[in-house]
Amino acid sequence: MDAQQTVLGFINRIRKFSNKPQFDNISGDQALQNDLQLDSLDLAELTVNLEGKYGVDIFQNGIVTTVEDVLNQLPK
Amino acid sequence: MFIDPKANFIISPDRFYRDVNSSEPLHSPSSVYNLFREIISTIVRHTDLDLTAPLSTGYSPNTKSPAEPISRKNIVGKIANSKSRILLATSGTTGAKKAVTHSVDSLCRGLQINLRHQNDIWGLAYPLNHLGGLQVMLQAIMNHNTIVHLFGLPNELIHDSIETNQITHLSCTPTFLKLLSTSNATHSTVQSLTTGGERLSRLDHALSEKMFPRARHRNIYALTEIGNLLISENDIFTIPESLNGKVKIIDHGLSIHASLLASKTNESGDDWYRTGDLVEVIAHNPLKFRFLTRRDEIINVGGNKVVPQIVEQSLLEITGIEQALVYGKENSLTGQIVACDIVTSSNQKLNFDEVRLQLTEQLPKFAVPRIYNLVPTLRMTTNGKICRHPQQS
Repeated sequence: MDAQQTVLGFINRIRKFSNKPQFDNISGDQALQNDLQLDSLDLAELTVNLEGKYGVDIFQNGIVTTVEDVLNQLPK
Repeated sequence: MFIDPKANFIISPDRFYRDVNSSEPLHSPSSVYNLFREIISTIVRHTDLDLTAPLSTGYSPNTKSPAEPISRKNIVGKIANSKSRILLATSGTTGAKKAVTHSVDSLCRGLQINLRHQNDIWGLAYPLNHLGGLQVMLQAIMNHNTIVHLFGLPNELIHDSIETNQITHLSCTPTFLKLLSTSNATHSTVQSLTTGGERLSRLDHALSEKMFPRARHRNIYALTEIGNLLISENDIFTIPESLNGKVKIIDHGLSIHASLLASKTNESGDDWYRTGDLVEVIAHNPLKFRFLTRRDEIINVGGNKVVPQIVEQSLLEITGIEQALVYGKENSLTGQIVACDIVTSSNQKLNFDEVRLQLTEQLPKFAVPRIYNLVPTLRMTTNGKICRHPQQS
């Protein structure tokens, strides 16, 4: 599974607990908050999940706004 | 190691472990007995103490000549008249461990010593080197009671021992109670149950009623720095008249007047000692309150405050969850995020997604744990409480 699919899986899991519909796919230019409707708590959880899988804190280098920003923080 | 020139006896967790004979298992009866004898010997300043002498049946708390050999026959008087000072280490729940010097008088504050208690049989469910264990020991010795060692034993042995020894009095932490309640055993010999050292939840209270159906349950608030302070029948404490003006709430936290401290030193710079315990005030006159948590255990999720014990109570109401520890995990975005460690009942499979959905219906979104760890056991402090600080041993 590539990183984008992994991110999609984590996002869908977070949305499930907010009773929000699941996404079939996501694109790099989608904004995490505006387009994917993740609030700060959801982003905190996404951070923890990604850190658990990749060992990287995606917010360690500053602001992360889009899916592409997230993917850029993950090890290639 | 703590050194206090005024103290002639040092009890600390280090001491307990160092003194245990390495060839014996920790908490073995003989190691506990040796520690027990050492404590008494030091309090009464007598080194040839023979605790195996027959138990005295009479009450004779008279001072004997220091030259007279001491035995259980006259030990009560020796303890009552002891001027020994005892240095106790706090458990370190507030962070760094501190040393507190007690007199025998301050350790005995709140103990009930009279003929009504002459036939009590005590279960010792604390280590002896902590305030709870020392107080059980003194309460039992001063009333010439038998003490049965229970702390650190497997559950089955504890249940057996309560029955075999016909234990009538038990003092323990709510955690000890929870761990013991994994079997359906009930003990009708126990007449008195005292809990302390941790917040008592409604669930703990229900467990105690089920396991000890004939016991009067008292909940005690004690601090190593003070000794016993407050007693209640449930989780709500009322300040008695005798403590009027000596207990007040400062910034939602319980504060105690410095005159009640065993050691007359106070770090706050005023006359009030901040206990670090946060409370929910129920009434003001007289002051009634319920303990919530310790100030340093509050989880801050993006500015939202979470009391971990409230989340734990919701978790423990879910079938299959036996123990739960809720804590904050550092997070670069929100400061902290709520995490939990869970111990499940044997043969119970737990679906964490379902657990989380249930919690979502009961708790604010920020208080619902986002991280779930299934663990075989929760770590305990040396005095039988759940270890709430990852760095604490």
